[in-house]
Amino acid sequence: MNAPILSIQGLTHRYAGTPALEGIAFALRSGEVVGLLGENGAGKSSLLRLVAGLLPVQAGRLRFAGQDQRRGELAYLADPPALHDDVRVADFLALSARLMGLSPSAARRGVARELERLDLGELRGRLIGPLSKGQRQRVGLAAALLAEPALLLLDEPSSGLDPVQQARFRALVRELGRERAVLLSSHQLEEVQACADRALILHEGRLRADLDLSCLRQPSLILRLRDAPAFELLRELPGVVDAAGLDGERILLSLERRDESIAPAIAREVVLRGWGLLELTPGGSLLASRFFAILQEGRA
Amino acid sequence: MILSIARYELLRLLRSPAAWGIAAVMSLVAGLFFRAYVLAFLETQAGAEGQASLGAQIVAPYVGVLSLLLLLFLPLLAMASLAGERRAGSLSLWLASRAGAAAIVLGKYLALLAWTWGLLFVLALPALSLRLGGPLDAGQCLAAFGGLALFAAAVLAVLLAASAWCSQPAVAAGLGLGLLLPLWLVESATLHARGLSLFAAETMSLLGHLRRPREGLIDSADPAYYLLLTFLGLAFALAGLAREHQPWRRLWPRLALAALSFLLLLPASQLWRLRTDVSANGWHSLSAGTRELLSSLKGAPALRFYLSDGELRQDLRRQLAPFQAARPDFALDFVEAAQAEADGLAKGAALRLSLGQGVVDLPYPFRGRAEDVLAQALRRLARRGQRWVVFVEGHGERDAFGGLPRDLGQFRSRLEQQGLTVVAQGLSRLQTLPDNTGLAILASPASRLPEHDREVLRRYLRAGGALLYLLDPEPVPAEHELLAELGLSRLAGTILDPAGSRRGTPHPAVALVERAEAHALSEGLNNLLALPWAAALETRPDAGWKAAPLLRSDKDSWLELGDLDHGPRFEPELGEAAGPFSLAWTLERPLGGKTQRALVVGDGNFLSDGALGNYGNAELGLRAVDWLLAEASTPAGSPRQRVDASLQPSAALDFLRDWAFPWLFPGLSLSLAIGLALWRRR
Repeated sequence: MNAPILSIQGLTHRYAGTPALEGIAFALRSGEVVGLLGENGAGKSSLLRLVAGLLPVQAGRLRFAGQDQRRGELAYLADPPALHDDVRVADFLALSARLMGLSPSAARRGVARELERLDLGELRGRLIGPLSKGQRQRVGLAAALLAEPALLLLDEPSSGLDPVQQARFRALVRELGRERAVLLSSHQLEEVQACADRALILHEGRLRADLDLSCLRQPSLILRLRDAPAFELLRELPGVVDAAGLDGERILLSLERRDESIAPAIAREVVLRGWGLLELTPGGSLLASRFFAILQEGRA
Repeated sequence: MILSIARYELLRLLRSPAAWGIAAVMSLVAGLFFRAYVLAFLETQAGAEGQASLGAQIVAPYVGVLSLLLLLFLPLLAMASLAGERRAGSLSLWLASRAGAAAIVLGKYLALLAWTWGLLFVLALPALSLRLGGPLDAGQCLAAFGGLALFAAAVLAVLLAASAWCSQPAVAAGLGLGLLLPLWLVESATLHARGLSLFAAETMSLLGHLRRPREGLIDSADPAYYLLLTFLGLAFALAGLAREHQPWRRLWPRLALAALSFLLLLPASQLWRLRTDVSANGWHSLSAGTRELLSSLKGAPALRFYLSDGELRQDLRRQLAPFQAARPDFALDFVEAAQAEADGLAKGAALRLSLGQGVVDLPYPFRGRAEDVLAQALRRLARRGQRWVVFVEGHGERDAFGGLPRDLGQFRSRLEQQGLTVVAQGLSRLQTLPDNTGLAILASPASRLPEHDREVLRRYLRAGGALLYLLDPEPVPAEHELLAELGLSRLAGTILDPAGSRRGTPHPAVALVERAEAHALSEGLNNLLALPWAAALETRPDAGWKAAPLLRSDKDSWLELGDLDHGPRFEPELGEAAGPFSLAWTLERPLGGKTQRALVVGDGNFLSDGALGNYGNAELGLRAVDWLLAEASTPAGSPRQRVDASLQPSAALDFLRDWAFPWLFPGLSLSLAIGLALWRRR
């Protein structure tokens, strides 16, 4: 396993005494896309801003590729993207490249590359102000990618994008995640599930879960019973690999494969065992289920 | 990195409708003011008698207007620089980059500075266009606009600091103006402050430090102030930006250090300063002769100002500054106007210059260059202790030490109060008057002057001595010889002045003179003069003297040859001549590289104890002595002239003044602003 690009230990931040983040600790490696999930005010943006150096570190430790100082190996795309409406796309990208520390020639190459990668060629001479939200998002991402950063911080990058743009964006993030570490904050669980390898769930400033999304991408069913047995018995049901409580009443069944015959088989078995079948529905996003369960635990 | 940011930000400014709108308004106001200044100059230059100056009357006030425009409009330009980014959320673009806060602040600052200096260059064109109409004082122009450029740099730094600490551009503009306003208004405190508070007010005044450059003076205190203010502003701007991502505990020591450095270096820069005068002919600098005079003075000179007007006081303080630089013990103090009477200040005077026991009262504003007036007065004072005023006696003259109404005791006393050494001297035992005689006064001799005495006086005159000769209507034998030496002769009779008796004089033989003739001696003397029993004098051509009448009798006056006490009336058939007559003549002639002076008055009564208090008699007598004693103080060579004293109107200048600067330039800027706004909307 390669060394972490970003390593966070005991990170705490307060706004006027009110804790925004407390004891955050995780690591991020190259080739990883990590999603940050949480309600509004959970501390996602604060965490990204701390990592980006836009907020002072009050307590805890941030290390970048083993160093305490940032060396420009990260890029940050804010929500909304930090753009200047009164300049043209190409001028803005040129400045961004220089701000990233690129030489003039490298800046020119970088601008050309990102204009092409993000399909911004036609917009290069346009003022940023009148661009659509999707176009602005692409310009912001292009600016963030100019220096080929090892760590990319994306704050709500696809908010406001139409479904087509969202799909293209998610594909792009996956592609970007192959060569670098990406820390992605989002309200959209499906986006995180689609793009990320891991999901960090923040609740009230605390890191409540660090989920490996590869297992959460399994098919699932949600089950509600009148007389629920122990989870061990449920794992013996046909096609079921795991069972876990969701919200006290509902149970999440992880399936070994996506197969339409599994649900009727489970229903039959439940009835036969006399557990009292009240509900059996497709599980959809397992991440969503875990997310809500974690939030519930957090509130409790 | 800094230059990349500066270039980018400058590009944003150049594409900003607001920036061009500001340029339009500023150039409109500046153009209108410039036009007004030029028209006023053209109107008054003819009557300015060599005192007109394009630099002083157009360039300096125009630069003053520009400074106020910068103060008012730069907040609108700079307010969004960082506060706007913060409000739009685009500050993260900068802070998350590799560019440090210092590079960001400096880059943005340089862009604002480049734009502002570019605008100032355009706004300097009106002043430079004056070159089309006459010579311009290049040194003064350079100093004035150089000072303005530094002023703008300091203002922008303060405004950038305000912008760095605010989240709303409007608040930033208000804060910036709020910070600059005290530095602007402290200028008014310099009008009345004294001592340490005056030093503090002068040190902190934003506009005060532009005054000297506007006049063509470069004083290290001024650029030092603007540079230190720029440094402080940028330090606070840096801290305002850095506080976004740095803990306050790391910032405040740096801020405190910057503020402390400012507070220590600023007074030091005002105390230890270097000055140079870059105006043409060193207009604001003391000549070598004046510096030599100041260093040779025995005792400390002092100037007391009797006007309460703050601006006049400040003006005088500024004019005295070069004197005080050359002579640090040259004291200046201000008293209320009411004190003038108690101090016996001469009428029409506003300040009293003293040296040792001697005093000279002077009007203010000075009539002429401050250096010329003060240096002349100081020379006079310096010589007073050494040079005597000698009253000739022995021929029935009015007694300078007597107490009778016909004597001159009070007048002598007034002279001594001014520090003059007065002696009475008979001539019979002398070959010449003493060498240190500064002025000889021959006051109404009643008997013939013996040949020896006349010869003593002739020698004195031929050696260049100054003489005040007072005559009474009764001729004295052989007096014509002395008058002839002076190129004068008397007319027979006593001047009768019916106008005087109409105005209430006790006797028609008291001639009233409404106003003395225009002369350096009588400048500013507006008092009525009463001359009892006066004789008329006339000049004789080719006597070698340049004679100018000083006092003239009324046009209805005549020379009475008959009895004065029993209904005198004009009788031309008896040979009585009709007025007006000259009662007094000033005489000047070049002699031995100097100008010799004499004054002959056909009346000795007006300075007598019985008449000295009437109207402006005492004032005239004291001024006469001053003028006569000043003969040797005329600086060698001709006085310095302004190089930019005239402006010749021309079609090109008229077009620029009336159309291009007030309307064309602003119109172009406004068009650009509108065009950019439309382009953005499209």
